[in-house]
Amino acid sequence: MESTSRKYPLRGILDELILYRMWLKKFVAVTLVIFAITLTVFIMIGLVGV
Amino acid sequence: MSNMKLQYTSKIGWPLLILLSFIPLIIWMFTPYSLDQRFIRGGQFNYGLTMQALGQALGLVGMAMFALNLVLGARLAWIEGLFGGMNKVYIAHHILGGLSFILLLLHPLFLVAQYITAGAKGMQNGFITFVANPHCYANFGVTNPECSYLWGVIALILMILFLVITFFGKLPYHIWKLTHKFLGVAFFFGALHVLFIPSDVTAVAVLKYYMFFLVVIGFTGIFYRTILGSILVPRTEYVIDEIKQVNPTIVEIVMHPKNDKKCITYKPGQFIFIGFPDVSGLGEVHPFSLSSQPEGVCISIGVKGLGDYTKRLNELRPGMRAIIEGPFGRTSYIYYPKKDQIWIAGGIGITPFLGMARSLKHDDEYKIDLYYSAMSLEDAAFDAELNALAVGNPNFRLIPWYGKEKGFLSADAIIAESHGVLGKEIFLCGPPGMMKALKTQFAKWKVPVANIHSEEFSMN
Repeated sequence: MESTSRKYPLRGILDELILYRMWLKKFVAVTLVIFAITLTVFIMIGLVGV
Repeated sequence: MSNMKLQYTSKIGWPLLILLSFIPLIIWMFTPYSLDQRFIRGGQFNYGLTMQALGQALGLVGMAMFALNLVLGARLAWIEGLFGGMNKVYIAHHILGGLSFILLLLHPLFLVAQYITAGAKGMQNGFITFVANPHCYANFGVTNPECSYLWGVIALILMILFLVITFFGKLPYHIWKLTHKFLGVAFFFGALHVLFIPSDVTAVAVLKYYMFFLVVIGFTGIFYRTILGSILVPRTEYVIDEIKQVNPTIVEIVMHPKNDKKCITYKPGQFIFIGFPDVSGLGEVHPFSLSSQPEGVCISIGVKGLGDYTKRLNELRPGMRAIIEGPFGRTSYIYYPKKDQIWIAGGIGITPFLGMARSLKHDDEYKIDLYYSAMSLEDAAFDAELNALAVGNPNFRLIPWYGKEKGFLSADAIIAESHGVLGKEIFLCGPPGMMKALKTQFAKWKVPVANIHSEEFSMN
């Protein structure tokens, strides 16, 4: 019998992504850092016109 | 629900979520402007327009996901049928919540990015428009639609506050849950922002009504679970009969319905949410697998004192009340077509299998191999009872596995002992590390993922 993950590679990848979700935590962390940096720059320029 | 129906309906959940999340984007792509008009001006790619368009698109999809996620978090019984189990609904809730958060964080970043090419003066104007418009603070000017940016800012601040706790905090469960409920406030401000800010939503009727529909179902989820939960959520009251000390760390709590006409109907191996309101701090409902078999009036759960909540369950006494919500779960053996099955339990993960083993009949067509992994015989709390069940049933085999003697249970060992696993349904319940390792090993043996069933409650 053929493996489902080999027969349908996308399903195997999705199964991994859904079950083990450290990637989500890392994405959230990276987005938060980008958000904080951009917002700080924006507010600084907005407030003091640096 | 029949086996076939379960197999089909359980595949609907994710495609439906994705479709409902992206409908606003599909509408936005065609009205009131064409995509060309959103990205191109004067025959050339326009940076400012593009950033604005991407910011709007991210905001629409992010808000749609936020609303749908509130429905997923409402623990509605009919939704678990769409995902193949309440544990899978919670996994979807976790992923959709994270994605929504990322999109809603990126939404203002793209809007801000449109001012970068305009220099410091342009960015100052953008800052005033989004955050510091003096007209919005004077004389309650926030009611002015032009000031709906502020609602979005408040919503985002609240989201950041409460979701950073969810993703990175280590708060006690009941405090975390309280903070999570306040995401409803963030949604309220987000809804004001999306519905009233002058944008495509206010300009295009179909987009406005769809976003309004999402806001309504989001609030329905909040009202059902959080605000009116004590009235709307069906709960059944049981009374504790007995607390059996199975070994030094594991107890089995046996309960009967307070009203014989109001008891839960469940399948072996399902789980319930249960709270004990007579002990301070134990009233909050937590998920536990049922270790009882459905034909009796009484129900039972097996509990190991692992966390702040479970360690306190030894304070319970016979006669105290238990509030039960459920049953939930689709990993019972009876939902799946193949009668040849492998059950694999690690530690306290034995409890759903205990309920399933207790419900097996001698004349069933099932042929079951139960692997019971524990550190030692002393840790295998239900070994004696399961052994007795196996002795009396030729179709049920118990294979104890003691880690101190044999190391970790492996797919190789299971395949050798059970003469192969292909064509069999495999059920897993145990520590997340053990389940992940076994799934990886089974994948190497080309075992179809569709034949492996597990309860995953880890939110990491």
